[in-house]
Amino acid sequence: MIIDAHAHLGSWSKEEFFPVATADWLASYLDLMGFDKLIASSLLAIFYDFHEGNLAVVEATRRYKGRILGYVTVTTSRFLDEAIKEVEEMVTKYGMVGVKIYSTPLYHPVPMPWPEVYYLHIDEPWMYRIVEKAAELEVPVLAHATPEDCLNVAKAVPDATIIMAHMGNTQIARGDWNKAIMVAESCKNIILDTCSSTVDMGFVERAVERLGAERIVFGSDVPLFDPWCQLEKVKSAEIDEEDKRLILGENIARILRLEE
Amino acid sequence: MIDAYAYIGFWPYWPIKVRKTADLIKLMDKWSIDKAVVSSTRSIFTPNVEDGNQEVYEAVKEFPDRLIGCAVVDLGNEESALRQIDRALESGMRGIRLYPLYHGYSLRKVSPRVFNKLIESSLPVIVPYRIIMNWGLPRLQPEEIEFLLKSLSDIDVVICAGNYRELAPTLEFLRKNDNVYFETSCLQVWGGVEYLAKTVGADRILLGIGVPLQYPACGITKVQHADISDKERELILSGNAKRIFKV
Repeated sequence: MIIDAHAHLGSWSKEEFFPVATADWLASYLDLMGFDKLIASSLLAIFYDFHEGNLAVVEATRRYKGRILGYVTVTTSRFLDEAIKEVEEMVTKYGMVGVKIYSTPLYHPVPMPWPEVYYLHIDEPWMYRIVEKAAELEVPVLAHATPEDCLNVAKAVPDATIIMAHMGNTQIARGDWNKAIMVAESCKNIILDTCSSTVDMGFVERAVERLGAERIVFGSDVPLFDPWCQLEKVKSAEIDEEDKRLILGENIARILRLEE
Repeated sequence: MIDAYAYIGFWPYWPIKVRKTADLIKLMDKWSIDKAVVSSTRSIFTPNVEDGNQEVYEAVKEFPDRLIGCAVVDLGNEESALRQIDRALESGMRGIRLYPLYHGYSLRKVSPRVFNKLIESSLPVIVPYRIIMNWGLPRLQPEEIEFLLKSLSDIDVVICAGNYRELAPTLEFLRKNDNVYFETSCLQVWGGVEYLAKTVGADRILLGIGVPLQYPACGITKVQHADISDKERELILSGNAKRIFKV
């Protein structure tokens, strides 16, 4: 069983080399790769109108029931009550299985490098309240954020399951997957997801060695990344076959209680 | 298969399994990588590039059928750059790699004498955007590479370690300059390899993996699964590298 715990619905960029991930495209991606399921958040929701984007994910999950699952996204914590209401509605009424939060640049897109001061970090009190709602609803939170941000949020809401997207391998986190592992070691409700541009040899093995394979989930970040490359990080890692099975699907299935 | 962008040497930021050249060869054997184009990380991280280049000379002497040596040249100081290029030629190196960010100079400030020497050497010049695909490492700006290309229109230039944010400017470089090539070690874009093959031609693309710093399977799989012809795949996996590095 392979479940892609980190995919996206929508359009990443104006550049023609990026595919547009419609629901049909995501389904064909599952067929191409032989994956069982994926969990997607909306790029429109991440960068623009979260309600409109989340509804698009709902539509995709209905169209491909059981194959495409959804994260409800909130753009920033500043929407507070509206965001909490969105999470509640999307999970209880529309069956979304997790929440996506994002340490986002205040102005996007901007030329590289992005100065730190322009980021809205997830580590702030209003976000804790949104994460508390996710914990109450017993759904995980996929957080595109630095290890430090994830640590603080996970400590502030110890009942929440925080999946650190990209395990530190982001621009905002300066690619510090070692810090991601350190942080997850110190806080048991943090899980790491593998998708990223980074293919540093040994990072999956190191995470398994320090945390155990149960704390890691596979993701691809499609339509951004080559999925074969993302898959091989796990498949080719020098870890037990059982650990690979856990990472590739069994862990996220357990976290989402998919068998129940 | 030829990994057009590989390394020997220590990695200072986190422990890696492969630290000796013999272990690199074993890793290459495991993944059926016939040859690797290598420079030494010592040349990047320590003040005297020649210390690392010496390691490369010795590694190539020990494994002449497996390793293709690239000297790292610091173009920031004119006289020493000229000497380093001479040494690279005398030692049988097949290419010259540049890491201006780590050596504290701008490609826009390199002296014309040095560029002329590079052209005279006929060695391909390898210019990476970054060491490996890790967001913690600095990235060379495309504008610097653009300047370099204007100065080196008569020799092969291989642009390395570019990812999705560099793809648009890199495509422009490839379109405008027939002497420019691109290796795939850091390209993580969906369909990136076939997009490049269709847009600029498979004869302009080289397989890059980044051994031993990056997962070999990741570098190989994106070319193996690319929607391209077998002939295009062969060019990318080794044919272009053989031509450029005169293997």
